Amino acid sequence: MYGVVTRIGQQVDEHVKTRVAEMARDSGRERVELQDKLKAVDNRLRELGGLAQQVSRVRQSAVEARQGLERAAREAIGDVRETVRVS
Amino acid sequence: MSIAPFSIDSYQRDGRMRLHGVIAQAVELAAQVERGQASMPLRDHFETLAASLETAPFTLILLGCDAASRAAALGWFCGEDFHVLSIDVPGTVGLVEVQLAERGYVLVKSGRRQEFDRLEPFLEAVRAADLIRQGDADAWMEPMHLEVAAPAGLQGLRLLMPESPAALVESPALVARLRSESNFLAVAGPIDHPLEETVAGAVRELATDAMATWAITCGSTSTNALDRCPPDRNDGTRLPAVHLDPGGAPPPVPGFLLDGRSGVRQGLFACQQARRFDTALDMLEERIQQDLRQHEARRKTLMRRAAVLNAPGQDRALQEASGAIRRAVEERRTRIEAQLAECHRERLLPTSIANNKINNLLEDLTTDDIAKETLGRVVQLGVAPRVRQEARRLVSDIVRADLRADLERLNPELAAMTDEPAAKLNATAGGSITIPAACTNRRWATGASGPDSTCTGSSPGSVSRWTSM
Repeated sequence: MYGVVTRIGQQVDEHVKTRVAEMARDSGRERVELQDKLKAVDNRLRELGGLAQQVSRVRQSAVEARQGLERAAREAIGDVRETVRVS
Repeated sequence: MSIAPFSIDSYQRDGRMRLHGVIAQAVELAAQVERGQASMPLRDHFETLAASLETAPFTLILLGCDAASRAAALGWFCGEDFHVLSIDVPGTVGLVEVQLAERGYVLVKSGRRQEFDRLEPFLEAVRAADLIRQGDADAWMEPMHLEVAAPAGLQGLRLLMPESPAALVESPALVARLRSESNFLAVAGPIDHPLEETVAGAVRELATDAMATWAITCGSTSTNALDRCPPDRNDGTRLPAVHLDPGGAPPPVPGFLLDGRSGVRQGLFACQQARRFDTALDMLEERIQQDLRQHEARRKTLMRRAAVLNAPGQDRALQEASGAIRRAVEERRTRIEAQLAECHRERLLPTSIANNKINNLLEDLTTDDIAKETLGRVVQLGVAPRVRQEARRLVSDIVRADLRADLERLNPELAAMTDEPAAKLNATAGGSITIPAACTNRRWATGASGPDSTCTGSSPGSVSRWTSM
């Protein structure tokens, strides 16, 4: 009976040691994985920030283009009105 | 129909070139935003927009203040069928799309295309068409599509005819669709009586952001009244009004509409494409903002997790905890063994219960308990079989009782020896950690043979138990 008690005690002890070592290993691996994920997210955030700026620039150009087109359209309509008025 | 290459003036030329350029950039940006996706709807939308710069038909909304005025205006566009072409716009459909074509008549509804050479059978088919898709008439708006022969110059023009001004008031979706697809707004109405407030309101609403408006009046001629007809915007986007007199010859269709290269057509078309591009940019911007929000949230989550993992002393705390747990296990084991040793020592004392029972048995022996066996001149004396059996039973009972007592004491101790370390380790690591039982198949086989302590496997969460049989 002494032997059995001793063996169970040793097994529990062994398991605690092994598990703690595993946990230490796991947390190290998780740290590395987390760093990789954070790096990827940061890169994408930077990329999206750049894209947002580019979209703003495109919008600015589009607004200028639209204003030019609207001015041209209004002038063309004015020409038509003038022609009708004269005739 | 295709739009003629850049002409008219420098504003248009420059504006269209810029529009081409920025749409191409937007295609690239959308592709980057949607990188890795199986489908890329935003990029596809920008590509469609780029293609439509050259291919989209010039489209005008033909809004009739009443059905008669709308029919008159449509007939006028269609030339020789002026007096007979009359198309009702069913309320269940809400919108009829008319494509002015070179020849013939076509009805397209729910993907089914019917072609006609003459107007009469075409009109019959339009009246007989099943225009309602059962079950979702409220939510669904698919226009009836017609192709109608029209004079040269107007061919390729597309007319969007909503059912009525009242229908516009009731359907913001219809208004949004008309705004997004049309190049300008033509309003056909009677000149000889004032508009109802509902109709006038709907016309004003649709004209609010129309790039150009055009009044087509019907009825008895009154030159003074032309300038009062709706829409009444006066910001340089109003085209000269036209009057249709049912009794007289129809006026010629204005040149700005007949000529695909006219400054008005090209200008209004390009403006509409620029507006559609603006809306598409809104979608792209919204998508980027949404992605940014998602990635910010993900970053925060990762940072929180990293902070927990990198907390100073995390590893040291774990090591200290495991050391304490192991010491506790060792102490408990030592204590159990000491208890067992003490029990055994007590059992072996001369005054122990077991010893007393054995002494009593021995003291109670009499001559009757002696067995005598004579073999020739030799007489053998021994313990009678009945007494031997009684003694064996006594010893067996003593051993069994002692073992049972030991097991009852051991079971909770052994359970604590495995459960407590698991609980402490879980509390320290902050996660779900289980210590599998050291042995799960340890059983008391028989009273005589003692405990079978062979380990045959383990499973998480279970606790070793000895059971006496």
